[in-house]
Amino acid sequence: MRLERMGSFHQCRLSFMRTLLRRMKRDRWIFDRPLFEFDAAGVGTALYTATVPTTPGPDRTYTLVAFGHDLAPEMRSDRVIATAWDATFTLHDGTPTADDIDRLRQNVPLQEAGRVSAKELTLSRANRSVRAFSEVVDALANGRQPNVDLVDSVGYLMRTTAVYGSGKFGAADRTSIEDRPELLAPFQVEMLTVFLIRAFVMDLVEHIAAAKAPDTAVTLEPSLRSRFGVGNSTGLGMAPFLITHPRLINNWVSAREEALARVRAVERATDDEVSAFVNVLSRARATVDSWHSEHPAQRRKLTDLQTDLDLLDAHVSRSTLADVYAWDSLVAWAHDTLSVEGQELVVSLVLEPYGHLIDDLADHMHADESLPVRIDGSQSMATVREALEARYRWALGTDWDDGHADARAWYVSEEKLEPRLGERHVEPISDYEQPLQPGRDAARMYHDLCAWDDDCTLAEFLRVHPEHRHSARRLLLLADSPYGEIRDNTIDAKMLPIDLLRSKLSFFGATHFDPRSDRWVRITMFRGAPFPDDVAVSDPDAWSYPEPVGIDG
Amino acid sequence: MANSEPLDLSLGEFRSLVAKAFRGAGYGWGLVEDAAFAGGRLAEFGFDAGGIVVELLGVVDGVNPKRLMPLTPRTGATVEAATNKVWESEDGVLCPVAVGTTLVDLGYCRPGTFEGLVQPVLLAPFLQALLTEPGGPGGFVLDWEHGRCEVTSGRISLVGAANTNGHAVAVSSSNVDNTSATQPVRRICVDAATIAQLHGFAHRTYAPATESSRQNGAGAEEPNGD
Repeated sequence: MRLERMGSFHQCRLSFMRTLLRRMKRDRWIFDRPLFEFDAAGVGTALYTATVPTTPGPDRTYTLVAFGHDLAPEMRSDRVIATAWDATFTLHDGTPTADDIDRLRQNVPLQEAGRVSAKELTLSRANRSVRAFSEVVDALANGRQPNVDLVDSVGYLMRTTAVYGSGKFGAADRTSIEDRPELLAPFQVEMLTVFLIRAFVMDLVEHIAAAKAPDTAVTLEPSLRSRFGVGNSTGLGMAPFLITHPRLINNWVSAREEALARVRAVERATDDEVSAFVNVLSRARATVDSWHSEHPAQRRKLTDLQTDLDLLDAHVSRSTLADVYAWDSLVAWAHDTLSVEGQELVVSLVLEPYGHLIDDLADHMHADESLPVRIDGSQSMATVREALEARYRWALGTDWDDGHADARAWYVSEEKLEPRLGERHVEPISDYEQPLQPGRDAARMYHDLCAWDDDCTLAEFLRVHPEHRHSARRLLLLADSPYGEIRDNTIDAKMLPIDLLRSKLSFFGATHFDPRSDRWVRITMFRGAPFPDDVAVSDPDAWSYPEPVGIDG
Repeated sequence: MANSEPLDLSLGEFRSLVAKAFRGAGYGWGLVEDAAFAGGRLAEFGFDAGGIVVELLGVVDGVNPKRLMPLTPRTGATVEAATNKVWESEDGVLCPVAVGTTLVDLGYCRPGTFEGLVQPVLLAPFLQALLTEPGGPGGFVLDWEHGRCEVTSGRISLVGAANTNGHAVAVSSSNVDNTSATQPVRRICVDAATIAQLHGFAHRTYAPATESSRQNGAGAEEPNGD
């Protein structure tokens, strides 16, 4: 995996939001809103439940507990250093009691400064998109629908700035819930949290409009309502995850590669499969057309992608998708012809008609990372050296002393323990460096290892050089996780952290990546997706590429 | 942390805190991963793992971690040959994480003596990991003055005092009956003082906040005008 390619990934059928929605529909999840008590300013409490029928029972219920707050404009910040938000959330495992809700009301609004318990699965918060939220409230209060251009240009009314799960701040460990089939795929509690937040946000905006003008207010037309997703503002905090979870990342990429291999092995596509592809291609065009960014790098990529789509349209019309191994040929053509962004879009698109072939792979994207990988210390230096040369050739050939290759250092700031990326040769941060440069560290291990005799063992080497232990463990892990490593320099002077962010967010199922700098990106989640009440009657996949036509009215 | 109440931590949270504490005390990243595993496993078996870690780090703090690694033995043989002899470190203080990782890397532990082993209970999770090796013993026993720790695949149990004050610890294999496994706990209750001490070590891993870092390290915040 190279960073440039990772930074061009698109959502696909195996993305976690889509996995969740397919399961919701297939297993007939039941949704409810047992509590919604808010004042005119949006201060109050709501509960949204998702119940999973299980056979044999009892059914399992997950409850989003949402708190709305009256936030002064000067307090509104997307940074992790913020201390107050427009709304705060937790996903409770079960149905919360009154005592639970009181306990959560004392803690959830504090976020990192509060504590949740083993009965909570996530902790999250969101801020309003000020302009869009107030304009939609005003429009609805005045009895009209908001401007479609506004809806499409912003795409959300609130954006989450963090969705913590997996044992953070006292919440339940993933290991305590991973035996539940509905939570087997990665990040399902986080995706469920955002899915329910979206429903809350739309209810809230309609409530505030109605409170403002009870006599004239209207609700959002369903076709317009569905065009709002949940925004997400993601910074550097997400980037280390891609490096610190090699087994998990391997399984994500491996599943996607296996899916692509299965589709490329299809000898002859059916008429329906060809039609499905042609349809989703036209929808993809609409998605790209509605994708806006002010970031120069993303604008260039979008321009290239528009050109790629022109080439793709022309190519598909000339070629015959009913030919033998047409998908294999198409992917090969894309690789030779299109930008990396375009190549990755083609990969996602050819998977679309083949849910019956590939959707099962979603159940193989999790990983047990609860224990460190055992180091086989009996390996000889010769064996380890050969493995390093095979896995890290690019890193062994890098001049790490040229000032550019190690220009950056990842560190954690004492300020709310926020991960940051600094300039090693300018700032005094080297002593605080995190182990997020596996290439450089592998090269250092290789340098020391070359002074040892071939017959010596890895155990003996690590006894003398314990500072290389993490590199040795990672090297052994990669033997079974070929996609677990980023084959690029993560501390290079020109490295773009947004590439790391995008790759992870694409696996979530995010769309409309909009970098705000080289280390911040905004996205939308569940844009176009059904709301809880519509899941049972909606196609759980069609929303990913919305219809290219305007809305009613 | 002003609150004096014990804290109910998730296992992941506890492991993460232990890892940061070890890193703050100067351990390399690989040993830190193993230390987090060992601390977490002890806590799962009901030990005051946070307290044990704090005691250990209090002893080894300031020592170059390389000097805590087990030396080749007095006889000058390889470390492998030393597994049935005497283990010691350059500084006279043996760290259970350093010893444990070395044993696990070797894949076995023969009867022997650890000179100056601090907090020997923390060696138990590593010995337990060795019990999964085919053909290995049914268990291990660690003996020291006024204390003893028995290790099987389903249990870690302590009799007597936990701390050796750096005296010798003998290790031997056993065929302990393994029918009485302990159900691991999933939530870790740690008293406030221990939490504060662990955070004290962990805090050393955080770079001081500066305005430059705030603006450039994380990316400047743009106005939320939308």
